[in-house]
Amino acid sequence: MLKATCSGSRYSWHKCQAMMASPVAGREALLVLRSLIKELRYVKPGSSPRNLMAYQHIMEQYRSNQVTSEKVCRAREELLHKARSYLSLLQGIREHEALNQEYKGRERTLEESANLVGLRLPKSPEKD
Amino acid sequence: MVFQKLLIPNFRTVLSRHGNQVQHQVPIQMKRFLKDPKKFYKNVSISKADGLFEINLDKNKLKTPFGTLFRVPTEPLAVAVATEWDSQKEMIKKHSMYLTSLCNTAIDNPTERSKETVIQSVLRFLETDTLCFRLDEPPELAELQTNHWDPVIQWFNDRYSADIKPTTGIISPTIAEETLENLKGHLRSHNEWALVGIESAVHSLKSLILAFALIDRRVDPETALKLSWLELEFQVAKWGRVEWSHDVEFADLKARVSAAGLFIHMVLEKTETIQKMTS
Repeated sequence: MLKATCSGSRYSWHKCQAMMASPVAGREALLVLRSLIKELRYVKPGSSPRNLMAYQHIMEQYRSNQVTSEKVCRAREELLHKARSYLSLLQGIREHEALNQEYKGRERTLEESANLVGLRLPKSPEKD
Repeated sequence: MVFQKLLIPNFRTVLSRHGNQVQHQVPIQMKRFLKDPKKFYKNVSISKADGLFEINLDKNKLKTPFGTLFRVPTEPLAVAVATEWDSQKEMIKKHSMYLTSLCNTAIDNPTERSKETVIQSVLRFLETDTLCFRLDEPPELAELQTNHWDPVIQWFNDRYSADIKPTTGIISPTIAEETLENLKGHLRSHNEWALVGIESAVHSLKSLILAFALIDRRVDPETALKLSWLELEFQVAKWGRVEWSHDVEFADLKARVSAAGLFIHMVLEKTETIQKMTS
């Protein structure tokens, strides 16, 4: 049975604890969901991830797969695989961008150029 | 067609200071094409028309590089593509929109290849499949390959009635005609969109067997990539990891393989819809 949850819940993944009936697969599915929501926060850093279409779609998928009497549910396995794939997609994109930014070549600043030959920039007087 | 127009000069050649080294600058028209455009929209939404899904960037409908209307057969795919566009910041990083690229390739078919040609090119990868080529030294690596790769090959042989055997030589093992015909038939049962994803997965993983394992959900994308990188990871563990090379490439490939897997699963049962798109 679904637990009653307050609509203003910050950590929406708590809601899903009731969703996944099977213990082992359910636990991993929850972890993946939690990581997915974390990743979705980076999609639009200003606003909550809950406004995103992707968030709503994922939650819908998780909800619709919750009630199954079978221990091994093919649909649930498929969903979990898709969730894992989407998670690694989002993570890969973010990691790639972050690494590129870090190792991207850029022109030396004036200070760095001066430091090459052991010089320092003169201290400019503070503006009042 | 479009590209030929861009290559007509305005080429400017510049003699560098160090002798008569000629440097060709990229023509102005091409520069505009190669530069990342600024984000020109605020809201991304999807809409449904004729059973297909379109992406709207503010009031404009998204189009492919060829100018065709961008339409995908399923809603999850549309949502994922819309999220890619929604996640762009000031500049549009086209290289990071893997699902959009796959859809564009599927819609435009820029290389104008038939389904049969694509299947041939995918199957040819089996001759140089990563999982089939083993090293006999160092022994730790040989053992790693046996322990991790043999089960996957076994699974593949069972599942697809194949007879793939690994080799320690450099010559490709000969593959039985029957196996090839079997696999061809299997690939033919997929629609053109799924084949775009399959080809991408095979290219990124450098292995047809791993791509099939991914499609059949025997492995997830990151595991598939780690299996593909078994030797590299071994060497890296021994000799050191270079963040700006290994990690950058791994992150990119991880995204690529994940996108390919996701794409395939999202279009697999949509042959009828896809056939309607091309008619």
